[in-house]
Amino acid sequence: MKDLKVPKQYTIKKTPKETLENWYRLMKIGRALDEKAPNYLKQAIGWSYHAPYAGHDGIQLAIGQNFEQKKDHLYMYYRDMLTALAGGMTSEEIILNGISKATDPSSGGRHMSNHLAKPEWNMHSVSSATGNHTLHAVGTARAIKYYGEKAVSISSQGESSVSEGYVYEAITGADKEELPVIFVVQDNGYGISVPKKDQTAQRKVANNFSGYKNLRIIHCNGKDVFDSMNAMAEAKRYAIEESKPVLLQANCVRMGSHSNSDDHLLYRSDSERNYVVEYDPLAKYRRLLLRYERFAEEELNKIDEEVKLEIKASHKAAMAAPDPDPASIYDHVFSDPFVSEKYPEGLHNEEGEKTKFITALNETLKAEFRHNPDTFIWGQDMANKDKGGIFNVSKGMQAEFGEKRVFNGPIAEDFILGTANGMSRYDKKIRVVVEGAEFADYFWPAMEQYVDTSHDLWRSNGKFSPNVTIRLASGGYIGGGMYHSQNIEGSLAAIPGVRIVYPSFADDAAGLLRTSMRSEGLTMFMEPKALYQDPKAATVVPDDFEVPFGKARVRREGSDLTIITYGNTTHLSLDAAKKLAEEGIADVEVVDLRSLIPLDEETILNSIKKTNKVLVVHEDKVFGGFGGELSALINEKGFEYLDAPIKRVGSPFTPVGFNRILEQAILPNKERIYTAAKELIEY
Amino acid sequence: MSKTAIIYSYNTQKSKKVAEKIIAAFGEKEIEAVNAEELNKEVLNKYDNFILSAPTWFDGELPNYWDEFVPDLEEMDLKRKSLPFSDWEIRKDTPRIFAMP
Ligand SMILES: Cc1cc2nc3c(=O)[nH]c(=O)nc-3n(C[C@H](O)[C@H](O)[C@H](O)COP(=O)(O)O)c2cc1C
Ligand SMILES: Cc1ncc(C[n+]2csc(CCOP(=O)(O)OP(=O)(O)O)c2C)c(N)n1
Ligand SMILES: [Mg+2]
Repeated sequence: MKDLKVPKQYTIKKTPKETLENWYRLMKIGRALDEKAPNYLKQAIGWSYHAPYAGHDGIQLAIGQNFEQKKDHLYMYYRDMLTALAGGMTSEEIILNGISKATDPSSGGRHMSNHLAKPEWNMHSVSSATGNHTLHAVGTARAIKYYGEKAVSISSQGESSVSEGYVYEAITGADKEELPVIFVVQDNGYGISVPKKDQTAQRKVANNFSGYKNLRIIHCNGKDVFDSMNAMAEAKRYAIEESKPVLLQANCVRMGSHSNSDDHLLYRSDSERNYVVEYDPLAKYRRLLLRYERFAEEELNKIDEEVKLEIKASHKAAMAAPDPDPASIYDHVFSDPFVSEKYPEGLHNEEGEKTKFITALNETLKAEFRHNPDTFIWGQDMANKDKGGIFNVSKGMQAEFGEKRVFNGPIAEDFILGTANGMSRYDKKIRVVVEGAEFADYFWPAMEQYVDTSHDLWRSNGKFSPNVTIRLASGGYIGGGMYHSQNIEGSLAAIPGVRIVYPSFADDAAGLLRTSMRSEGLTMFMEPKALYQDPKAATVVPDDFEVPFGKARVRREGSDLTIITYGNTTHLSLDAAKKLAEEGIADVEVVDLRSLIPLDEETILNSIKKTNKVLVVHEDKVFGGFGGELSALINEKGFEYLDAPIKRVGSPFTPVGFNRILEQAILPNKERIYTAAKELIEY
Repeated sequence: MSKTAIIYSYNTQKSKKVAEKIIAAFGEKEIEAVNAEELNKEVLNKYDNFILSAPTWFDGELPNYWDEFVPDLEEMDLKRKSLPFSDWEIRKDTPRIFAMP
């Protein structure tokens, strides 16, 4: 990309006085708050996290001023206080966030101070994980482009956090997809105490991206209002007109410590601390206003006085605002699920021809894509001619729905999920399905986005629901070894905010997928890949089948013992139960959970009440597996019904070996379930 | 006779040293020193030839005293003035010395 010129639209001499005044006022308000924030902590009122922005004034003013509410999308980082003000937030709102009040527009006191957001204006709620919102900005820009809007998605961060791998994923993806997104890098030379030379070899990290094909790199002086305004305006023009990304690096200084928990005296010399203060952008702006006679000193002094009064009033109002209610902690953990009217229990009596598990998924995906035009799916190997997904689950979708709705993602799982999150921020009507990884085993790189997405709804105090279904081919029994056999639901279940389903029959797979795709919120949809083609998992599937979340299904009724299971082991448990019945040993009830979160406690406890004995079976490791939670639950709420200890069958605490001999020694099988069940019966 | 000014900040180290050497070479009658921190249009209009001297700060930026004068400089009629620029450290992408940030 050749070095294009940035036009000088804004200059000290030509910018209208009214504009200059507005900027000055915003900068003064911002600085007053920046300097006042530590007082709230000293007085134990709150604002225990504050990262002062002083020294970044030019670029932050420019980002905020170039953001159009409800049209553009903005992702700010923890230092972006002036950005928020310049984008329209009031000083009162900033204080409400600072002291974590219930009326804080960013999160209602749920998220850290200095994490500013106003989702109703598209100022999005962001994580504390540095740079993680770059992926969201890319996802939103994908939606902007898809829906043909003339808008831009802006992400802002410091220079050190560009080191995060996902930032490279984000910029690479925006470049590849030619998306209207501006990545602003506010370069203050440090990541807390670490000088930027310890992050990357180039002095200017933006130049690491100079080989990108579509990305335009712009450098500006972030300490200078005019240079920053010109750079930002040009970045926006370019991103929108060319539909291409821009990386804007703004040279700033950090006039203070990183935050109130840092002390820069420990690592910066006197002279350095002095000259960064000499480079105060606000002081420079004031000097320019006076030097070029755009304002008289008295005029500026008058504004200074007005700002003082405004801050006083905002402080008073914010202090009087209500605190969050402790009883509200359960609000917005999960989004609203789709409610099935026809199949409230997720059961049906349809007869006819059986459909394979994989076909049920494929047909449901297609049916939902026909039903809702605002559905999208991407993942690795998602679409190329006759190939549709690594296991061909999405076969034929690109041909039918086009490559704007069905497309390949890069080999970057975090990007796949992060941009799904970002795209769903664009509009509530959007539903995204991602093949989160080709195998559940490769989902780990996406964990930071998974965690972030899991609590987006809670963090934004109910204002943003990521409406995303993550599909993952899971589990073993295919001779795949330790990278094609993992069960990760035990680890994932420890993270609140995600529904986790794990069907074991075709009809339940179809019904749960439909429910996921019609619901709000994040659903982890686990597919036991060993069952895709297995005739055992094939069932009759009603065309419109729906299975609500949190409804287990009794797959075999019995009176002597309850087996609680899901996924691959549902079938092994049914086989073991059959054998026990055939041998006249016992009549075993098999409960297929279908949903792990939310969990159908009622069906579990009702069954145990009847059988008085319980065996928990899953494919994942016993130690640390989801069965531990099931046992604990039964112990707490069903102990009185039990005539024998709770027993568990699952994998040993080892990886899964590749040689079939090793795999068989590790994964649970019919015999192990049979033996454990028999022991319980005989107890 | 055309007048020459050498303009640099009196608060600098290296710029100052270089300027002093240049003045000594020209002879004090030929060249006048001007403090860049007190620069304005009127001062500049008094001279015909200039030697400007500025260190680069913050990855290739001008120090404020220069930067804040630039809007004026841009509008001046400099056609008949000659302006050699001595830039000690301007290396936009790979500065040799880096003090901060
Ligand atoms: C605040 C500050 C920032 C600086 N930034 C840079 C820089 O980015 N690149 C560079 O090569 N030198 C930088 N320097 C070093 C000076 O440009 C260099 O030491 C110069 O020779 C000093 O000249 P002087 O003594 O005339 O001020 C910086 C110096 C200071 C004080
Ligand atoms: C993923 C992650 N790792 C580490 C941290 C801790 N942390 C918070 S701010 C910060 C420094 C970031 O520096 P930079 O991106 O340059 O932004 P600056 O604070 O200088 O504006 C670090 C390491 C974090 N919040 N998230
Ligand atoms: Mg930094």
